[in-house]
Amino acid sequence: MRHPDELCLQAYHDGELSGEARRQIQDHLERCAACAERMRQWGELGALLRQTRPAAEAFSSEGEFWARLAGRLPQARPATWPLVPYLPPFLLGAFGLLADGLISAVTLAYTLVGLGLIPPLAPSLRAWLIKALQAPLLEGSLYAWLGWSGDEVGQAVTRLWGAASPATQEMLLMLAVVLILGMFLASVLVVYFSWAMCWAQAASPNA
Amino acid sequence: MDKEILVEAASGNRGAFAQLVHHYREQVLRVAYGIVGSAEEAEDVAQEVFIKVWNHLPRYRAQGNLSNWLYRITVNAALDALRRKGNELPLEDWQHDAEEQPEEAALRNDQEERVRRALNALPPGARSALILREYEQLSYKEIAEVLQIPIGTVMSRLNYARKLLRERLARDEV
Repeated sequence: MRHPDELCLQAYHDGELSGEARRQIQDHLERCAACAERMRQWGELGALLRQTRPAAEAFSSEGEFWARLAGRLPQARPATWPLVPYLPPFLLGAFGLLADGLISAVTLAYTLVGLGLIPPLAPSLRAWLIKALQAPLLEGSLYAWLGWSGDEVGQAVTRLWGAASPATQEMLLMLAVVLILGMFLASVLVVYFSWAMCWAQAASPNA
Repeated sequence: MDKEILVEAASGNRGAFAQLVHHYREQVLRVAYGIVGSAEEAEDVAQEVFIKVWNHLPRYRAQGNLSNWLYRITVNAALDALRRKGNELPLEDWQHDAEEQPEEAALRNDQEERVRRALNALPPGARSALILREYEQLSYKEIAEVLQIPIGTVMSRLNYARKLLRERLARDEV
């Protein structure tokens, strides 16, 4: 005789089967003493287990339970700003939009330069870069440590920059802009995922 | 459970929360007791469960069943309590529990005590599934939802728990 799968038999015992599957097991049980015995054992075990179900008297009274609990309930719940669950995607969207806007503006600017509609960007960007390299903050820290001066750095960069062809200059500037935006986006992603993970941890009572 | 009471409790009304505790206290205590195996520890677990519920209620979204959410918190808190305790003692150690007073043991029903000991010796995952099934009469689907495991795993855990329990009870009888 072919016996049903043990898990199916158990599902029948637990009242989880219906229709044809239930009927098939029923028919089998009428003919198979071994499976019927298994059902009887499970039934007996269930009855034994239910005997160990604790009665309400096994615990302290409801009043005592509540008095103890009320004293332990925090006065203020952990703060949850209503927007917190939506904030990470919102921030990501906002930064993404900003980054997209900047990339589009740079691309448009370079296109307009290429068409000769606006003067080349390289000279003004170079001036800005040299000014940034001569910043007092760098002069007082990094350059002081390396034994350089802001003017020396400015002159060295101007010399190197002058030696490069205009096409190389434009390409380097483009690369710098893309690199800065890329790093910016990467840091936003890192912040977003750390925030999302912290939030998921805090929101889960499983923790 | 009245939805209004839930909303009130979520907004910080302690009276409403007391009603929620009144409604679910026994259920939580029963499951906690089934897993940790002592009334005193079950009370500690239940306290912890309701503090978690109080803290998380404002963020509770009524997608599923509140009762199942409570079962899930209870099972997790009880399993954490077991882990903190350094897991359950093996059956042999339970049989010779030094803290058990002979008078206390004599007062308990012998058969109940044997079942209780065998239950406590089951692996926590199998024990949780069996307690939810036999104490609380949850369906496979509900157990799967509470323990966050597939229905197939619920079936095999139940089968394993019953098999192990029968074997241990038979061994204990000898």
